[in-house]
Amino acid sequence: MTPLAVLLGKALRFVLRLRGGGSAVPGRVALLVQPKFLQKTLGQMSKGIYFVSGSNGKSTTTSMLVAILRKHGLRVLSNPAGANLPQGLASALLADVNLFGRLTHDIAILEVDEAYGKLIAKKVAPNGLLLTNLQFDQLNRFHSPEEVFEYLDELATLTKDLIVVNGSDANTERLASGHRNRLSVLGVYASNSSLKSAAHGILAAPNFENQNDQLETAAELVDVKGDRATISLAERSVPVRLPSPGLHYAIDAALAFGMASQILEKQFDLNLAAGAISEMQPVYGRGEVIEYKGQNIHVIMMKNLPSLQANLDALTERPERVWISVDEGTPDPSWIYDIDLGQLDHADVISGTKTFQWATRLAYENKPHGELIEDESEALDYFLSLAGKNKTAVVNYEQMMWLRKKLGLLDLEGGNG
Amino acid sequence: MVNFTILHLYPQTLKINGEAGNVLALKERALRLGLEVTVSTHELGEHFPTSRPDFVFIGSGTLQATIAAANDLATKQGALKNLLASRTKLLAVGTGFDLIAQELVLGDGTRIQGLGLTNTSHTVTGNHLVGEVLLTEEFAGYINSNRQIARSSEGFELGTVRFSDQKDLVGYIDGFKDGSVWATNVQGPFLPMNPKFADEILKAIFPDLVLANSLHDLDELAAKARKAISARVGN
Repeated sequence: MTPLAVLLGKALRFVLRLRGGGSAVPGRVALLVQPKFLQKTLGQMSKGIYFVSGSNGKSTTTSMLVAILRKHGLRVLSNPAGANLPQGLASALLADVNLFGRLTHDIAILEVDEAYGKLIAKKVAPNGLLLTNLQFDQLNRFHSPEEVFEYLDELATLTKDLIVVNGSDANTERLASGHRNRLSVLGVYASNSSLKSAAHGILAAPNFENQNDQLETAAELVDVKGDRATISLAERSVPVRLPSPGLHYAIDAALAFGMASQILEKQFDLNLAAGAISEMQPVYGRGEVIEYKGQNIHVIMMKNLPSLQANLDALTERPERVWISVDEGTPDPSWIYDIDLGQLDHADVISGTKTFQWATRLAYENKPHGELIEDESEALDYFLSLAGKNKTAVVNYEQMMWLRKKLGLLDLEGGNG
Repeated sequence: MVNFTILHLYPQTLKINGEAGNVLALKERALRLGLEVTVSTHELGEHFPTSRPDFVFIGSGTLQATIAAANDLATKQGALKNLLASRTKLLAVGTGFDLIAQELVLGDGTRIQGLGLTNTSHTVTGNHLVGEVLLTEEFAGYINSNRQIARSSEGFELGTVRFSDQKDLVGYIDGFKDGSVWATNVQGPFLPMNPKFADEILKAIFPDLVLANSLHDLDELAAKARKAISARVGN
């Protein structure tokens, strides 16, 4: 059945890509023909399958872990960020399998959605789970971080061998602690001084169940300043240059170190890992600086409150030219009233469907705004016409994707490049 | 100069979706109208302030946060009720509304007694209503709630949802107001987005206050934000 599933899936994938963009349809067809398509393909990994999940930092941490493992010579399969349902993942795998469903990779590192991850885990249980954090995110979808805790806990229950979590986040630490009896459970901790490096710390969701959940330490973030961090592991430490500045990226790196050291065991080389991270470019829109016609456009993502606050906290100077653009990808931007806007003293232009909600927010802080142009294309033209070389775009995820495409960056997020 | 004193209850505990914007809105509007403003806060386990504020605000949080706040508030309800009897006004948003209701019934049947300031009893259900809303009297915002609200008497509601991108929200009766207490499930920045309620509260506290043109830019932007919501929900 597998060759037929692959043949049909690859043919559909080819046709649909000719029409532009990706689709979950080929994967859906492959799974219809061969319901065990994911088990048969991913099950071949000699070094196992590992999931990365959490509220924020999934893409960056996944990329960092993949980079470290590849630097150690492993052939790593990973998935595009959007391919987090079984059919989407199957579609992504169709790009790599041969007719018999064979893959040439040693290990799979998969970024999985907090809620959908269990759908994949029920088909192919992960050997290991890496949890970045539990923060306020997508309240329109998840309603509360307490619901997300339950999703992640279920994911942990489906995990076979190992959990590594952000131990400085009391919720993920508590979650992991609950699985001590069955699994190897380790935490990655940030030192007090590194936690103080960001004005608002790690921005974790509140935890009202205080317990002594201290975990065995997999890695520690010793300190961070800008894009320089020091990470220690087994009493040895190493300097790391981060792809973008900020405590949140430093914790992502320490998490990748922690999980990589567990996967590679004695083969793990601290300096190789540091080298892998130091060679990385910013991960797709996360702190990325896009060069466009002589201008440098620094992309600040506002996926949710913690992501925007962490990115603002990481700024070393106030942006001179600011464009804010938010569309329906953020159905309810109410949380912008919980953001400390100290690092933004104005906006030159605001656009998107939430233009006036943002403008009202700034007005209540007595921060001036320039043009209010709901149409994003017109707003971008205006923004680019403003004097100055270094500019800052504060955008939600969907506007980031649109902006990258508009500025000529046509690569898709994720993949096995 | 007249001093306007605001007490923000549990700002760190009950903080999920921009509720602090309500305090910001009252503060900024009062400043622009020539008042001095003092904002104080009260968190879990702290001694309740002895001085009487003009206004108390309670925000919204996760269920665990709300239960923690309810446990703390149970020891202070006498003091809070005394404030309200002494002309202090109060706004509760989201799960803060649960805390000032008659009771909150959890999914497992546990009953948490509220302050009893409203004619409503709230029950946690498995049905989340989530969407942008336009209510009667043209106030607008976002509702994200799984509470069923029963009313022991008619009247006192803040408004009824006329339009929403979530059809189950149409006809939803929101909130409470009686001249001393305002409550709503229109979450987050209820007052910045709907400044007429901010002014209603300010006028209830300072009857002689004259609203001025200094608020015009704030009100115009909020009106445009509401108009955008109105268009999105199909009005």
